[in-house]
Amino acid sequence: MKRRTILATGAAAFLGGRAPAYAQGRTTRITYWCWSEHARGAQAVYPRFREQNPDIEVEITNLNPQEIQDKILVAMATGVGAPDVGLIIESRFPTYPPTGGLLDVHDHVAPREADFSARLRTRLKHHGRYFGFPYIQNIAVMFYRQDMFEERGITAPIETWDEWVGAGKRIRDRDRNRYMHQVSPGAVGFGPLLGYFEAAGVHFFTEEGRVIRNNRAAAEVLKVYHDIVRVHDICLLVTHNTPEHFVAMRTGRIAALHSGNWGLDRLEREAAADAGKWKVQHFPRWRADGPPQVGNWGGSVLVVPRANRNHAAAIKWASYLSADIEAQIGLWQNGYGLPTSLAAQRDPRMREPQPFLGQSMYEASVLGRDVFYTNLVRDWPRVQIEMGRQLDAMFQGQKSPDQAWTDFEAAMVRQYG
Amino acid sequence: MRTLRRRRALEPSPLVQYAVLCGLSALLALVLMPWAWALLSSFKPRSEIMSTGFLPEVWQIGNYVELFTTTLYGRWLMNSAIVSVSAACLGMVVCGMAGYAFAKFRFAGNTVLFWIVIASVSIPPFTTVIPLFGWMAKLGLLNTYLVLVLPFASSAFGLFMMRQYVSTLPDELIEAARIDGCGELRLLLTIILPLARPALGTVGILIFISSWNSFIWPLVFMRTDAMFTLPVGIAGLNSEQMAEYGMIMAAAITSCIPMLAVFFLMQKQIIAGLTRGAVKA
Amino acid sequence: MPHRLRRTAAPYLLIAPFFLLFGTFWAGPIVASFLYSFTEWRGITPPEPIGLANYERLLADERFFIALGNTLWMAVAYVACANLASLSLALVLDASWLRLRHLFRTAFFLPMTISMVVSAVIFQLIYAGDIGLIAKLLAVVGIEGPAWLRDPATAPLAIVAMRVWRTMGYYAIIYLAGLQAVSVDLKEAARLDGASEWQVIRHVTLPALKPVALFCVVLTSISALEMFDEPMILTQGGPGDATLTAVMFVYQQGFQFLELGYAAAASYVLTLVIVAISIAQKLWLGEKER
Repeated sequence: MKRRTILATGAAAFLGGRAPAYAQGRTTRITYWCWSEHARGAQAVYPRFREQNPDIEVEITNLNPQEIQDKILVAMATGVGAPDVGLIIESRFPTYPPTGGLLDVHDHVAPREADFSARLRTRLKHHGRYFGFPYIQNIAVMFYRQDMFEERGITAPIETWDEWVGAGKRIRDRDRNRYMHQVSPGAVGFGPLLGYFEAAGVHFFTEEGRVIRNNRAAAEVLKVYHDIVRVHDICLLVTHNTPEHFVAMRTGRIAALHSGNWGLDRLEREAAADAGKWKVQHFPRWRADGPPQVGNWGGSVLVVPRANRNHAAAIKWASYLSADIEAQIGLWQNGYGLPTSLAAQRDPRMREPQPFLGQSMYEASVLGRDVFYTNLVRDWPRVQIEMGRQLDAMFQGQKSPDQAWTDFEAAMVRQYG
Repeated sequence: MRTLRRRRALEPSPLVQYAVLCGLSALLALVLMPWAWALLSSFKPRSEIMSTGFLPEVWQIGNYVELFTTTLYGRWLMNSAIVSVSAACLGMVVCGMAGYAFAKFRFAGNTVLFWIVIASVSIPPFTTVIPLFGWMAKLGLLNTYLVLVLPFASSAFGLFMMRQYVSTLPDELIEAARIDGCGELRLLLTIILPLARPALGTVGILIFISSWNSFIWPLVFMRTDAMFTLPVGIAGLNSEQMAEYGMIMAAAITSCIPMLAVFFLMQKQIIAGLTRGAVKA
Repeated sequence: MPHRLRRTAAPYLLIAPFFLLFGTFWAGPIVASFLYSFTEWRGITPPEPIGLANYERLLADERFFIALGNTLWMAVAYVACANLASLSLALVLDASWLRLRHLFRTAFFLPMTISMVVSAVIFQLIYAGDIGLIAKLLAVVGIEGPAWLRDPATAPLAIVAMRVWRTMGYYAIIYLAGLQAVSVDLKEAARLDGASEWQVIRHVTLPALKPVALFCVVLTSISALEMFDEPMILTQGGPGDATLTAVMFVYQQGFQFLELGYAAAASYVLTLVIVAISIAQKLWLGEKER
């Protein structure tokens, strides 16, 4: 084994690209894979980490989030190409611990269990041991153009979903080129759609991972999603993260943006000229008499693949991002990821206003709401892709929302039972 | 004389000729337009790309600077160059030798082996990649240059072309050399290879181009962004959440340059090689 | 004596390096893939033999048939458009009275030098709604065009059009070479018999082009049936699986869901389809000699 390693690295030293990361002198270099605003957040909180750990250098790599998930999965299967620390989308996390490719980090996470929510305490465990570090979470929120709302006599924040739809009609009546907010078809539309399901408090799967049959509640939510585009006609159908989506943001084609907290990062970059016009509010309550409940738009988890050798350094970096209050707050201020650390959430700095909004996003869109998390299963991409297909068929007019839900349920039963 | 007059009489009128020339030029403009658009966009900042307007308000090279300073583009370029040049060189040697053998020797399995190679052309990608992926992972060859160079060197088209060309070389020359006592190795090196130079050149260029533009293989076998080749790197830039379109256009334009250079330098050879292979097929 | 030995051994030594590489990287994996298609292999655990279960699952998999269907009809569209376009272009370029032939020939070939990835990336900004070149040009005239890549009816056509753009010049050159090889005497004889230019083309030139046409049709078919790069980059198989090709399906199953045995089975079914089509084309276009 040792000889093969030497052969592989020596003989292929030139052809083999880069040398493995071993401690050169006293500095350990580790790689960290994350995306967009998380890379920016990490860059912002990195200097302090360096001060505390001068012997560790972190290389922060910005990759597409879906690709990171796939690459890390494959890396664990092959032992090649895994980063030292990776950021995993929470909904896809369940697939990883059973592969045996993640480092058991129980001893580093369990001692501070009280600092994060009960949901994470269950989700990050596999057979009773922690395999991931809680990192940040994203609440589903609505950003809106205050100037456009005021023009049409709409007062924000809008409390319930029915009121939101009503306001949407006023926006549309005034100008047929403007819409209330955006709805996305396709597999990428599943993330936003989940926010609606969760605001309505709906599960698709039981806690054991079986499909809930004849899920009328879910079918209703899908119908609402369909109707706001095709019946009430208040929403712009545009695929998430495409050029058209960004253009809609910057030209005011949509009066509101349904997004996670990180949407602020997108607005800052795409609609910089409109600083001060955008504000944020809670996702509207699904029912006037229902709980003040919103959905999430994913959270992320830090994992340490076992394949690499720099476990100690990797754990230090992950722990820093996860537990250090300054780091967690820095991540909120620079990347708009909501801290999972309860202590960080209580810090008064969380309530500081964001310059672009002129208000505190935390107070306006997070506080005062319970976040609902739907039950997850393994191989989440299957769920995403299947729902994406049904959404496309539904929005193309090929099937009714009821039919789309029935077909989705049937496909899930075939996969998961 | 009569034929010449007849031929001139058969030429369409100057008006029609002019119209066809115009039409062809229009078609050409249409074909070149995507490039022109990419070029224009590469000089625009993101805000301009996302708004109306065609020409850049201010021509800025920010995208190009960002491309080389904030991404691993330079590294990807180097990886592509290393892989393609190595594959082309190795391919010329390997296909040259094998093509000569198939063309000028009769040996057991001559036809069968050749047709197996030709048949492999119709196997879709990923069929070979799937098992190779597992094996290369076990051997620790994932994410190395070798894993890309070796498969491209054993090119079916390369073998086909070399066999085609060498079979046109006169047998008498070879026999004469043998009678003169020339050893097989010397025969190969001093007579066959020099004579086959045009085909060798074409094979080298073809392998260079196909490995440079390959996407599927490096997508699967290169696992870290420092080892990506150009196509995979550019695809990665493109799939970012808030894709920097201007920078991506800059990447697209700069990645065309090496291929265009190769093409302009070796134009005659490439076209001759392609047509020779096709017409004889 | 040694000479003769060396002479019989020579071919085997000459082909050895090629076949060593070919065996390891092409032939071996092709066979192994076939064997893996009868296993369940998730990459992390060793492959488990499960008999025909993968193939049974494929036959019941709606998405696989959608992928095959898309691949077939996009291939038909591409083969037809590419060959017609390049043949027409070649016919024009072949005209003896045409000036600047070399310039046009070279210029039309240029798109072939860029990779499919780069062409897909460039065409993103052509096809995009609002900011794409087509959208902007139409806006000048006041028309709002369709969202090319987001509409299941236009997305496959957009991808085919992009491919035709890229390869038209290449096949035009091949057809041109074929045209120039058509015997001038035959054409002269036909003209002397009173045939019009168009009749000459129809009855002399085109039949003589059959072998070249077969070559081009086979090549365009194989490359179309293996389409992956463009849908992967532009639409990820969407919208609604409208541009999901067979190879994309194999990639998804193999490298996103990590179901390598299932992916191997799918790639073999695709192989059968490709081989069947190639044979059919040979029979249709190949044997009708003068």
